[in-house]
Amino acid sequence: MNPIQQGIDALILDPTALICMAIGLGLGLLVGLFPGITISMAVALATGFTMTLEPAQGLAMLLSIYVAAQYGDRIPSILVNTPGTPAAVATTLDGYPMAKKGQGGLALSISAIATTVGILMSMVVFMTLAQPIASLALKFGPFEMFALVCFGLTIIISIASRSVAKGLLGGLIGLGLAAVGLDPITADERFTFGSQEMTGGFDFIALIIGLFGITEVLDQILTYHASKVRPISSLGRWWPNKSEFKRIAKPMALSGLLGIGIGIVPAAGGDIAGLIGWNRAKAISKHPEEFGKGSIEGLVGSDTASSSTLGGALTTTLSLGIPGDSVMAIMIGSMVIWGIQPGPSLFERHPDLVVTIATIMIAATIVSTIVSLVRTKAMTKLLDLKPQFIWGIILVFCIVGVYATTNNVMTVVQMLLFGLLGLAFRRVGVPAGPVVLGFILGPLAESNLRRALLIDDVTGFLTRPIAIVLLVLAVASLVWPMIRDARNKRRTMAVDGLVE
Amino acid sequence: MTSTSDAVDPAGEAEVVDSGKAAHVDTGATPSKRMELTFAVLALTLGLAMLLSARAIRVRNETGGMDPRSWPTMIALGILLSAGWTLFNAVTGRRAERDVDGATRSGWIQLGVVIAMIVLVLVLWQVGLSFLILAPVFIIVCNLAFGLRGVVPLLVFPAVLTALLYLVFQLLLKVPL
Repeated sequence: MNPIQQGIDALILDPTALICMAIGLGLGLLVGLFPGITISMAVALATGFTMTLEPAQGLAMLLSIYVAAQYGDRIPSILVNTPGTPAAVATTLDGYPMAKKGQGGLALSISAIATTVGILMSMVVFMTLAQPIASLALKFGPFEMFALVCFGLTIIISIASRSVAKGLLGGLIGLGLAAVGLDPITADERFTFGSQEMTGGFDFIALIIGLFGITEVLDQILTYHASKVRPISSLGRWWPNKSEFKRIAKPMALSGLLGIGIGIVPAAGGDIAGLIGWNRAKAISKHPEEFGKGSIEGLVGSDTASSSTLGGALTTTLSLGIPGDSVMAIMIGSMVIWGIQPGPSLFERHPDLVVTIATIMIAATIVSTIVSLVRTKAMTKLLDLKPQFIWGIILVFCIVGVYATTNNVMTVVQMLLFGLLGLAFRRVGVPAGPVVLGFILGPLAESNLRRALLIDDVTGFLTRPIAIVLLVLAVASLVWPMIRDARNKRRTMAVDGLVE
Repeated sequence: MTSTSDAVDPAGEAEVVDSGKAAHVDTGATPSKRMELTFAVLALTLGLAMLLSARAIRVRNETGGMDPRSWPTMIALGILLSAGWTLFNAVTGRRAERDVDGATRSGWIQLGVVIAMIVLVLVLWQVGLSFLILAPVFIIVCNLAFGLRGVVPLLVFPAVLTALLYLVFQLLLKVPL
């Protein structure tokens, strides 16, 4: 049997995988719907349950949450003016004004269509680009791989954090956490302080659920300001007419392509793409004055761009082993636990799994579209649920989910400590993304650097053009935000001077 | 996550506001120089402790070149540099803007109760008490702390959640709770 048939069969002929997908879709829609629950948090939480499953079954659940949440998060953006997840921030710009004009139904439908087109466009790119990129990356030696890991880490630091210094600290702390345990080459103990339990290092599931799940809930408890925001209930017509379809075609195509490009950049996610897509759609529109006041082009621009990052992120993750976004970072961790190493060799060792992943993404997109288009008003009623109930559910499931992976209460203690650390980090502005990425990429970076330095000395980097380019890009991604901030500051001071 | 709220109400009886207006209410945390300084000093301490610990790693076979101490040493030096940079920013008064919402007084109390309850649950669980007994108690105490009152939050919700835990974990996944 060829890998394509094998990959598709792994999903459609396995009832457990289909059930996992259905659960993932339901969870994803709910996750998106409730502001405060991020996709990373939901996927992290779900990893506690998927560890005991087969890879295809586990991936069916995790990827379905990832896809379905792209649909669910548009609902509160449009009806309550509150993005369900950060990726739907730009949806509020025109989605909510449309709902206020009595076009809530139309906005929800157009948003679902734009999201579908975005994801499917990006999946075409994934299917055509991922393998050639992986083949190219297969030629990478340890020097190039180390440089690639550095680039992946520095770019997430520059994107995820307002302060480069704090982002860098986060990434380095992640690398430090990964160094605890046994040395990957000599098996000497590092930072175990004589504890037998620490020789295995920190638990990955405890780390991600702590940093994404517990931290999020604790921060919400700490900062909750009660207000009951009334969702818009008069939704009007649902289906766009012919002229509206014609009007959205151009911004949809442009923002889709933009989103794919942004998605390929490690760590650049739907939130950034949505805003850029909205801006570009405005630039090419014949009616830019309508943007921000309920323009369907604006809505399409933001939603197509933000959803089309998915395929790009998947391409970077699977072909290079560098996470395209925080959800993909968790996915890499899960795959490693299953004994699968994402990266160039994945396409040689597990081609069927790559096909399964593409099949899950496309099937989840189609089902989510149908659910989104035939949704009833009842779904929006869920927006009335008090967040305190959700906090309780998440806390209990975090505790039990982490316990289920090892049957050891000490793993839950680790999770709580990571949750508290994450809360402290969040309050001082250290992002969780670089910490997790550092934790995942640390062993890869160290083993490649050590192998590289066995072959040659440090000057070996200078004789390898790809490694040089990647290292220069890594440095540039750290330096560029500082230059940009300094420029903006100077410009602001100049404007202030003129005003005075 | 964008916050769209404007009224503090631990009891949950929130003011109903128009969502369009609410989106512009600022609940952001204010920058704090003291916090920045404390964080930078803690990070410096961490870097120093890691550097000393890294140099103290016992290597069974000294082979020269890059050994098990080298990578942790590089990380520790990186932490020291970044922490120094953060300290410089804090001292020179470059106060970082904060992307988080401001903490509320009731929030601190609720947070304290939740953390204390999690610790208590973990201790009792480790001692041997079943999580299926601890979970409803945990939810009830948390809901009381969150200001929720009535039959649904204090009776129905904990019961349904415990039943779900029993069904999913104990029966389906065979996890001994």
